[in-house]
Amino acid sequence: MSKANTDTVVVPGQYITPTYKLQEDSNIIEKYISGRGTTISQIKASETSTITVIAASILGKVYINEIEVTSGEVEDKNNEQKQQIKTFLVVVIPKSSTYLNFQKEHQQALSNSISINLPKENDIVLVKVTKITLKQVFCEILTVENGDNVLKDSGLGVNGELSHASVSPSGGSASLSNYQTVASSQSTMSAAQFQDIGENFRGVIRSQDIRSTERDRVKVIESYKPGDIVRAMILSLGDGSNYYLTTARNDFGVIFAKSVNGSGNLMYPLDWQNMIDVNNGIIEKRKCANPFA
Amino acid sequence: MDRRRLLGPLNTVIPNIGISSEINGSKSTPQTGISSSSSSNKNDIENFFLKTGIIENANGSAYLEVGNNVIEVSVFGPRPIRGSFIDRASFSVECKFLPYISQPGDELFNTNNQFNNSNSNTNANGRTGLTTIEHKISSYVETALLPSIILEKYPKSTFDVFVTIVATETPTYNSNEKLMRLTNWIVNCASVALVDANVEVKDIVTSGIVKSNKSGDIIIDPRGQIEDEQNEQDEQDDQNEENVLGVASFMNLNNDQLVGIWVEGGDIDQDLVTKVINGCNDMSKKIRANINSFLIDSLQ
Repeated sequence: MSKANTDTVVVPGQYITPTYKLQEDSNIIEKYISGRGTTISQIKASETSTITVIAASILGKVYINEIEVTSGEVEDKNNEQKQQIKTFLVVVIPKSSTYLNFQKEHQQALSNSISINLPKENDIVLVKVTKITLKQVFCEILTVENGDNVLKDSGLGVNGELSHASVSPSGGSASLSNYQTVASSQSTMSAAQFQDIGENFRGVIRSQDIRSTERDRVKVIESYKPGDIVRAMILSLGDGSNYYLTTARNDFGVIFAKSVNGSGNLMYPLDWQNMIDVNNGIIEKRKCANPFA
Repeated sequence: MDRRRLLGPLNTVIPNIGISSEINGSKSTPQTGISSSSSSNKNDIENFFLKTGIIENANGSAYLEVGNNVIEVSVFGPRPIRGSFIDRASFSVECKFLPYISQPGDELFNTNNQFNNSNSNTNANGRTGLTTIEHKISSYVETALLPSIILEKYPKSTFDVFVTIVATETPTYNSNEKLMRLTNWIVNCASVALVDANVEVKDIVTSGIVKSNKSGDIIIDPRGQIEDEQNEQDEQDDQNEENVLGVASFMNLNNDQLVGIWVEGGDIDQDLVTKVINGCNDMSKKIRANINSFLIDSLQ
């Protein structure tokens, strides 16, 4: 019984399964873990008792897959008749998620995540470099690996404030919104500016996080250039504006880059720090990702 | 023009990489789901038309027509915020009437509109920000929807809900009733828009509206003064004062949690409030059932 209830369409709030279930005609306990697109709610069964259930949090199809848990055995030592626990991960996949559908077709494990597509610590992301300084690289987060695009349009269509706000009836650039009049969960609107948005979630790779060896001799300009697509990992949620990222691993670094500051052709990696444009022979310095590491 | 980076061509199309040609969801018997039953029973809910995804550049949107009300809600987010770090999402609601629409209760609240306060402090719209009425609706919708959204899953981001009222009920309605009816449907419409935006929610919020008359009977989903049409105008006005109107919103699948309540008018006691809440709950469940089948249909 590795899969149950799969392909059932659920609406947000709908109960999928209780967190623990005893398998019929056997001593096996089934434990369900709330994955992406689900949440845990306490549902009143009667006046006095509540049941912990996994409920859908988005509209989509349910997938329940058995997962291997290594550390589960230790806790059960006290039980004389050792009960077997099977663990299942419950996820809900929205219709729009092409990446997840692709993953499902290829039978890859559907991993857990804080939300459908926002990056969290230790997530691997693809970013696009937007600006470099001597100390750090600024970038925009495009996609979370095993997840989905952070924004629907990968940040292509969103440039600047007006792309999200309605255009004022007077034809000017004034916004229809007014800070004093918007009802918001934040007590002060300054904590959540909602106008000057429209670009992607941003990240920073500090020069000491670019590679793991000779950290102090890293030259940013010889590692990344604006326009490069880089595979990186989230170190922390960072401050208000930027996530902190690292590429200090062999499989992190540039995966797509164009020569001559983007005006040339796509380059191919020669080794971990050189890329070549095969059309004109230009060799440029980059910190390349080794996808086979 | 963004000079910080190299931009692609403006008319870029994103390829649907990985889209399946094999997905064959078994098509079950199609329910309409769009409208509730059309019986003329006075305790039935008025038919409504619902559609999602009509606004291209929003993350989610919904469009609802009920009676003469036309409501459109767009949801933007999760979008990054700038400024200090917040560990959960911020959520805001803004409600706007299109400029040519007379707002319910206009005569009571909007004392300084463009007609008696020309030029000073107004934009071409005739308003500085939101009117009192718009703000009232925004606050109610924000209060009702906030408990349902799982804000912890979206650090450093914001959700913005923009409600646009395209048309409202005819003036035969009592203005309070008009306003509360509108608010009721805005909550329902905004919930669907949130689902369309794939925002993670604990449950879909739906709401209902009831009216109690002099004798304490509860009318679910009141629709204007239909029964009072024969009465004289004065009598009608008297009755309006006695009537109690209530809107309440619920998370039906989450222990029927009450997430918003708004009661107006008349003498209110505990019994009546209980009746009002129960009536609204009944109506919210009917709407929820319709929304559920609509959503399930939309996925197949």
